[in-house]
Parts: sequence; structure tokens; C-alpha cells
Amino acid sequence: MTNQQTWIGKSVHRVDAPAKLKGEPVYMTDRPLENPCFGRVLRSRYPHARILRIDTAKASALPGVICVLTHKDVPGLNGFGIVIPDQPVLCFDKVRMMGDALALVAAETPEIAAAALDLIEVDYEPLPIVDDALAAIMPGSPLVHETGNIHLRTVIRRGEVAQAFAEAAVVVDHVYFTPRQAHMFLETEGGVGQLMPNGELHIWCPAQAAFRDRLQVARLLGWDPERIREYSSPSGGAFGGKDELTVQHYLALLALHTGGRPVKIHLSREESTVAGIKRHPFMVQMRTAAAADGTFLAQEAFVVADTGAYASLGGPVLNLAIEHIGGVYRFPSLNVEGYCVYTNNGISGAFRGFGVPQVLVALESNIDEIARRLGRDPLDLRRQNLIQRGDLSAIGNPMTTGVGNQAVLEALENSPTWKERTAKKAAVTDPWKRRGVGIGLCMQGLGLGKGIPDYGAAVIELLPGGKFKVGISIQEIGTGNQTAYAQFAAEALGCDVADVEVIQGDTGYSADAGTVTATRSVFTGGKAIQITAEKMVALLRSTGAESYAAAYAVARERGLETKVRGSFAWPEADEEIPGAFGLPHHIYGYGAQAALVEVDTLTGEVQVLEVASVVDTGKSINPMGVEGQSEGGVAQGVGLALMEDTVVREGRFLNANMSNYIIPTAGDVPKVETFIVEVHEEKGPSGAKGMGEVPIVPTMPAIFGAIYDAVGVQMFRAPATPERVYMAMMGDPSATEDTPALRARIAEGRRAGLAAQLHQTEGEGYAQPKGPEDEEA
Amino acid sequence: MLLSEMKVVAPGSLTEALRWLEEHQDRARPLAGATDAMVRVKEGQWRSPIWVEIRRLPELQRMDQADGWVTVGAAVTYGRLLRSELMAQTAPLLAAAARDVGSVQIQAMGTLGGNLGTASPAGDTIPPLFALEAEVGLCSRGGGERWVPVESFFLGPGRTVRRPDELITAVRFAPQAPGERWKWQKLGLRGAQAISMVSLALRLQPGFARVAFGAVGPTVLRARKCEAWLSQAEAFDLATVRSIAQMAWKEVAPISDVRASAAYRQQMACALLERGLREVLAV
Amino acid sequence: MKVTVAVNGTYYTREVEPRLLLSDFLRHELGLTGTHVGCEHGVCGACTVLVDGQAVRSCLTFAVQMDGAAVTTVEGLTPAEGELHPLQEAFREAHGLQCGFCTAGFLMTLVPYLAEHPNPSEAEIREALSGNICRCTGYQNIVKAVQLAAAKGGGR
Repeated sequence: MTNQQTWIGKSVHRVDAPAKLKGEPVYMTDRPLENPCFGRVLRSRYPHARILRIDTAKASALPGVICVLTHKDVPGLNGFGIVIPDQPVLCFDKVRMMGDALALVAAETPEIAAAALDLIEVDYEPLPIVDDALAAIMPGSPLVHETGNIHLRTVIRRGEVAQAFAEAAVVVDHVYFTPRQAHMFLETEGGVGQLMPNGELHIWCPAQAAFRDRLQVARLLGWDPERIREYSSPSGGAFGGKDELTVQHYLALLALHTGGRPVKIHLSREESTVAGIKRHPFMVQMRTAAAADGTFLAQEAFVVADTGAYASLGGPVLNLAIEHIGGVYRFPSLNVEGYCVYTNNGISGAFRGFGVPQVLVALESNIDEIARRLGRDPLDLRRQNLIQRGDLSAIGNPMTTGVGNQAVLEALENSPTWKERTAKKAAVTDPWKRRGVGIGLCMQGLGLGKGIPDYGAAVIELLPGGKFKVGISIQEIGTGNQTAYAQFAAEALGCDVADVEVIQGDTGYSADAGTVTATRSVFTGGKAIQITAEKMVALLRSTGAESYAAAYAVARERGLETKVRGSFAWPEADEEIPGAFGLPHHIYGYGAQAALVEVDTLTGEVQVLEVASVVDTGKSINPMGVEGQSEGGVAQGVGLALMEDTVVREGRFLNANMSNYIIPTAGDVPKVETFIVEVHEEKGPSGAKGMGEVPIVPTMPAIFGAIYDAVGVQMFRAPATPERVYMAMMGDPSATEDTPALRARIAEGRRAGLAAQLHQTEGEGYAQPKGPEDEEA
Repeated sequence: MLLSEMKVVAPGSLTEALRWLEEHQDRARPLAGATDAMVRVKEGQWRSPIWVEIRRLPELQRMDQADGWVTVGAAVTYGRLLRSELMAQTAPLLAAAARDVGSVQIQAMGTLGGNLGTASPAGDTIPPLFALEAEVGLCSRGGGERWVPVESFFLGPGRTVRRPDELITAVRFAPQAPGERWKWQKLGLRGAQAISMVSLALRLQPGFARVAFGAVGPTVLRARKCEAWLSQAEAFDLATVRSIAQMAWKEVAPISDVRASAAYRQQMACALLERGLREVLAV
Repeated sequence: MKVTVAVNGTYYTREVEPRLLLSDFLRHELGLTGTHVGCEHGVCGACTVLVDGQAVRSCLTFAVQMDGAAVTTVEGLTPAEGELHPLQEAFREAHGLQCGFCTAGFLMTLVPYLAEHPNPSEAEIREALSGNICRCTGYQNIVKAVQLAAAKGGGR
């Protein structure tokens, strides 16, 4: 796009800011309700147990209780899950995690609902638990599901791996562990369900996939999805944590039993933490080989992801991690064995970065060590191995779209954090403190990937006075896409942003445009709006009117449809990667960061002082929005690297509230300087790609590299708490997890994993029962 | 018990408050800033049938200096402490700790008396009170007023010598000496709003030292060996500071929890003392 | 129990359960849902309101403790229909919000802070903000918004 643009690329103020700033009831958990009743969910008392009996008689008899529901009241399929419906809506035979739901209550007040939960009698027979993902692979481990603990095995081998390691000048081999990060969106899961007078079921619930949610609800109710309407935008934060059903299924069931009254559920913080999905904890054993001249030769990895009791998006998370196991570098040989396994540790699912931060910290840390052993500058070594357009990625994907690597690395090199690192490190004040600078580079596959239906759709309605309503099912979860959509529409329609109202997340207004995940929302929505806007412009022409206001009048006069629809299918790679469903992606976002940290050698405390964050957006639709995403991503990355972990011991949660689950405050996050790079993506709307997930990915390796640079210890387990850093500095044996015993277990796990007979063959069972809504037909 | 079965009473005077406590004994509990109490109530603990609201009792608001004592009323909030000119002059150590409690919103509600009554070993104002050798004023209708040295006040986590009919009314202590060196330090899992893993209150004058640690024992602890060595040291070079700081290891008895291991906490008692000494002595 | 509170300048007398939290009183009794509840533990700060001019956690306060007090919520900041308070305007200009769920709490923390500290340094702003959790922005634009509001006259 060479022509002058009015709205695209401008830092337009958020269109949703005034209402949010004034405290207007924009969130669905704030909806004013007439004659509401209140729902609660009975959660399991054990992480793994057989259910012998559920008796709801006493609870039902409590005055003020409207209904008590169990699995017997699920009319359709008693299961849900984005990929496979392995999670019971209400448990019947056994519970597999503390967050499992057994019964639902609706009552006149929240307090009566809580009292009713206490009156539901459940007899359990506790079962042995499996709370270690590596142990879960081994034969003889307690089974979370009858079908075995391995949910997905993905193995990719490329090139001459053994030979490459034999010929390598340097081989680095370490084991890394990443934590069960919690999303900790400020608005916990909640919403309202109501059976409407016209027989429709309406659900108001902040979410990330309205149409898929609706389909899942329809399946468990045994209803026609068209009878269900989900309103799902905006959300008080999501980050992937509202991608799966959260409470829609409970709202739906309860709403069928409250006589048309609205029923509200709003989870407490503890319940949200225990029942909601988390970032998959990973164990990554990674062995990286390089030649004496610094050329990367081979990458070998054994990856175990803990999906907890149910699959959710565990399979795709594992596969995306594996797709990025070689990062932004050329690796002619690859051997990766990955497992996504069931345990009784809550449930894991989608979280910004989607598996990539978990493997990238291993890769980038290994590369730093290669650089040290070869006496090379870490940035220069990376430059030498960067994938160029036309190269194959580590998994063998031809990189044919805009590759932002080079530009991103150059911007990083020119950032003050990197360029002036010597002076910045020397500026330390207290003699017991040390400073260091580290870097991380990344790419992130955009969209859902090969073979998974991925499409966008939008509607545009012409309103009296020549204003517009733009409908798109993709939600505003805080990222600013509502503003970006208004900008796309205003640009394409030639109107003012203020003349565009964007309606999001309403299944009753617009067609299915898929999820607000996978860094796909600007690309998908932008493209869909541009295509739809062409039809609106055509409508204008057909009326012969000079303005939209006049066109509206003409259209009404002639009885023309004033609402136009458009859709498109995402571009995808030509060839799939055998044995790895959903791989590869076709378009990637790129990013890089440099972090300056200060380590207190007396206590092990790490303060991140500044981060230079480079993102390749293709085209920044709203640069201020890009910076906001960059700063927020870094903050979540700092939490991931230094402080956050949902601690689960023997299946039980030890820090489920915000007093003891620690996330960064304003005093903990660094000053972030964002550098935007625009490597035009010809397939994207106005050249844009997407960048929402990118900024969380390089933060952890950059910080780990900076810690090493400061005090000479490599962290292998995140979060790098003061205690872990201190123990590592002291050379305390407790800091060394990579013991011969662990290596023996890994070897045993690899054997057991490859030998396991899987219930479900790799790559199968992932077909999703959905397609674009063909409203135009 | 349903939460709705509990009752909050708001007596208008100390006498009236004491009457509630005397009449209802274990069934009544004082409620000050509610910043800890409310969390416990929500967690299903501390479900006292009667809460006696004392936050606004005029008798508990004093902050004054007389006869060698600085006296701070039990309902004085952290916010008032850290803004007080009197505290800046007589107990900057206590004011510094108050500044580290929770957040500005917690500081606006939480009270010094509440911190004592909750009796958490990690309570941030308690190590300074140990270092100040403060006394806790307790009052009952039957027994009148008594002053208990702060070190004798705590029996263990959540347990104090306060009888059910008594109310903490005030804290008193001798002012810090002008020119005295002092340091408040806190180690948490993040920069703000963190429960202490280890905390330290340090006072140093020629021939005089007070060292108190929080969160490394069932109650706040005085490190008397460190104090003795510090008060006898002739000169403070780095080696001396380090060797004295290392003694703290033997004076604490931490436990492991979700925040930190006992071993780390023990090391950190030494580390905070070393860091604190180096900061105040510039070595 | 009977409680009389002035909220945003209007007096309300209500018969309430003693256990009713101020946050629930505001949200459910008065329908002022701009005050959010994020953690119920007094950590996230989303529920911050002004009580007699001071920022407090409404999730850690019983409504009955507020008898006779003056409470200000985010709804009380907005001067008139369609307008924004200077601090709100600064947040809009500096992109100081994303999902917006924490925003009311930040605003209510900052109103008394800026009144007391008209020209805060960045470090002071970060300290003042450390009682409010934001999961989206990384705080940087919130800090900028405060600086902008301060530059324009203390946000008053």
C-alpha cells in the first residue's frame, strides 16, 4: 500500500476508552439484572477419586434454593473441550482434578447458593494420583483417563542428527523447567444465562470463541445452536484463559431451570485459579550442536508438557512448541520427541505464547552457552544462523512469507539497551549488586496452522446518516482490536473512525470469524473488514448517491439490503509436517528483546531495569496499541521469568489467591522501549501480520541471559526466584536438578514414550466440527 | 455458620467497646482496619459472631510524646504513621516499616494495633517495635490498663497474651536517639505488596545495637548475639560486618512454606543484616 | 443494620446485613458497577474507592463501617454527561488502559495521590501505583498518564 492512508498506521485513541474510564457497565459481569438468581459450582474435594454417590436432597430442600443439578441433568453430551470433549460438564464416575465440577446450584442469594453447596453429599473413593508429567509417561503410573496418560505424542526427525552431533565442535545439553503460569486476568470468569421469552437461550460471558462456545453448549444441551446466542465481548482480560468454556456450560444448564430468570455466576479468585486453565508447565531436555565456525548443526529435544486432567488445547500447545524448537535459526538436522500428558495437576490450556516461551528459553539459553564456548558475541552468533526468506525452518517448513528476522536483529543491535550495555552495566551503585544484559529472539506462528479451518468474516451495516455498524465475532479482550477494526473500516469506507460502531462477540449479529487467539485477530478482522467494505462501497456506487447518508436513503427507498457480509480463508502452507497436526504455520511474527538486570548477590533478588522490545508487525495499524501490547507482554514475561508459578502439590493448589500468587506490580516491571519493525506481509491486511503474543516470548531468555551475564549462573528453572538465584550463586546442590538420576528418568521416559501404544494415533482426532458460516449462500 | 449470622457493632467509646468484649468474651473480636480480618473471614476462619468495630474510637487515635514515652494509639493507621512528623523524629524505623505494609489502600485502613493483634510473625511493624523495646497497652473493664513488653506479648503465630475481655489500646516506646543509625529491610517475592520472607529492624548507636527479625520464627525474634557483638565492635570493616551478620544464622528458626525454604530464610537473615549494616555504615 | 453513606454526593440510607462488603454494597445495592472486584483479598486494588477522601479497598471493608462516611466511586469522577475528568482524559490520551477492568481502581488511587503530590517523579508514581495490579499494560502507559495529568495540573 503506497497511497496515503488516513487511519491505518495512526495512533488513534482507543474507541472503548471513555466508557471504560467512566466505569460504565461495559463488562458482562456488571450487567444490571432484573430479578436475578445466583449460581455456584460444586468443585471436587480430591484431585483424583471415584465418585460413589452424589446426594442433593438436603441442598434442594434448603429454602431459597431454586435448583440443584448433577450429571443426570446434562441432556446432551456430558463433555467439553476445544479439541476433544474429554472434560465432563458435571462429573459422574470420577474426578481428576480439584477444579472438577460435580453439581450446580441456583439460589435466591449467593450466600444461599454457597450454603447449598455445603449440603450436597458426595462420597468419594480417593485414587492414587499422578502429579509429575514425566512419571505419567511411565508404565504403571496411575491413569488419569482409561485411554492412557499420553494425550499426544509428536515426533519429528530431519536430517542426519547422529552424524551432526558427532561432527560438532560444541554440544550443549541441559534440562529446563517452566512454571504453571496463571493468566490472572482481573475479571474472573463469570456471566449471565437466561432463557428468553422467545425460547432462545442467551449467554452473556466474556470469552474468546463465541461460535465455538455456542457449538459446545449446543452439544451438551442437545440443542440447535441457532437457538443459543452468546454475547462475549468485552472481557476484563483473557490472555488465552477464556479460550475454553469457562462458565457458559454452567450458565446454560442452570438457565434451563430458573423459570426464565437470569442466573449469574462469577467465580471467586480462588475458584478461578483452581478450575481455570493455566500455562502448560514444560520440561525440556535440549541438546544443541554447533560447528567451530558457529554454524548450528543439529537440535535434539525431549519435551514433556503437563496438560493436567484434560486435553483442552494441550495437543496444539505441544505442537506449536515443537514447531518453534529451533527458533529463528537454521538447523539442518532435528530430532524432537514431544509428549503432552495427563496428570491430576489442574488443567492447562491456551496462554499467550502457546508453548513457545517454554521451549524458547531452552533454545536461547543453549545458544548463549555455545557463544561463550566459542568465544563469540551472542548477537553475532545469532545473526550468522538466522533463517532467511526461502530457507527451511528447523521442522522443515519453507519460509516463503515475510521474514522479519534480519530487521528485528538490527533494531535490537541498535537499541540503547544493547548498544550502551557496557556503560549501563558499569552504572551499578551498591558494591553487592551486579548488572548484566541478555537477549532473546523469537518468531511466533500466526493463525491456527495447517489443516485447521481458519477464516474470517464480518458484516457492515449502513445506518441512517451514513454511519456504520461493523460486526465481527472476534472479541475485545483488551488488546485494542476494536479500535483497529474501526480504523480498518474507516480507511476502507472513507469515513471517520467516529462514524463506525464495532459490535464484537455477538453470535446473533455477525458471522463466525473464529477466536481471539493465535495472534490472529488483527489479521483476521482486518482482512474480513476490508473484503466486506468493498461490498459496502459497491452498494454506495449502485445507489448512485454521493454520500453514505444519501445512499442510505436511496437504499431504503429501493428496498436494498443495507447490511453486507464478507469472508475469507486464511492463507496456509502448501505442505503439512507429517505426524504433527496443525503444522506448519505459514506466516510468522518476529520479535527480539534485550534485558538489563541487576542482581543482588546477597539475596538473589533480580530487578529488571530495562527491556528493549523489538516487534515486527508487518504494518502497525495503531502504533500506540502495538507499544501497549509490547509493554504488557514484557510485564507478563517478567512474571514468568522471575515470580509466577501456580504451585500444585499432590494435585492441590497452594497459592490460589493473589496474596500468594505473585504477579508484577508497577515497581517490578522495567522501563520498556519498543522498536517497531515493519516487514510488509503481502498476504496481510494493509501488510499487517499480528504481534499480540510475540512480546512475551523473548523476555524469559533475555532475563536468564542477563542473569548469567551479571553473576555467571545459568538458571534452568523458571521462575528464577530470589531463592533459586541465590542457591545457584552459592553452588548449593539443591540448585542442580540435572542429576544422573534425572537423566536416567528422562532416558526411561523417552523409551516408554516411544514404546507406548497410543489410543489415538498421532495427528488424528483433531478435526474440528466447524466451518465458515455460509451466510451468503 | 453463615456470614449473615455475624454481627458488627460500632461502639462510640472505649468503655462501650470494652463492655462488648467483657460480655461476650470469645464470641467477640475487635475489628480495626479489617485488612487481615476480612481476608480470614472470607477464607472461613475467624468467624466471630460479634465484631466490635474500634477503628474510629477517639481513645485509640493518640500519637504523642510525654515523660520519655512516645505513645501511639492502637487505631492509628499505617498511613498516619508514615506521614507523621512525630514519627519521623522519634521512630523513623517504625515509619519506614509502615511504608512497606501492603499498599497505600491498605495503609489507609490498617492499624498498628491490628498488626499486633493479628500476631503474624511476618507483620511488618513488629520487628521495629521489638527493636524499640516497645510496650503494648492492654485495657479491660475489670482489670484496667496494663503494659506488656512487646517481646512478652506474642505467644506464637496468631497468639498473644491479650485476654478476650481486653483491647489493645496503644503502644509506647522511648524515642530513637537523634543521629542513631537505623535500617528497615524486607525481602519479599516482589517489590511491593509482598508478604515478607524475611524482614529486619536494625538500630545502631555507639555501644548499643538492636536487631530484630521477622518471618523467621514463630514470633518476631531479637538476635541478641548479633546485638552484643555489634555493641562491642570497635570498628566496622567489611570483615567484621560479615562475621557478625553470619551469626544471625544461629539466632533464627524459620520454617519452609510456599514462599521460601527454611534454609534460604536462614541465609537471608544473615544477608539482610549484612546488607543493612553495609548500607548504614557505608562499608 | 442501618447505614447512612454519602456516595458521590448523594445520601443513601439502607438496611444492610452486617457482613455486606462495601464493594458489594456499591455494586449490588446501588448498582455502581464501575467499582470492580478482582481478588477479594485486598491485593489487586480494582475495588479502590475513596472514603472521606482516602483511597481504600472496598472489598476489605464492611458497609456498616462506612456509616456517616463520604464515599466516592469512579462514577463520581465524571464531571458531566459526555465529559471526562482530567485524569480520565490523561488515561485516554496516554493509552493507560487495555482491558480496562483495573482502571477504576487506578483512577481512585490516583485522585488523592495527585492532590497530595502534584509533581511526582516516575519512581514515586510507580510506588504509588504498586497497590494496584494491572495484567495488560505493563504499567508504562499508566505512569505516562499520571505524568500527563500532573503536567496539566495535578489531575484535579
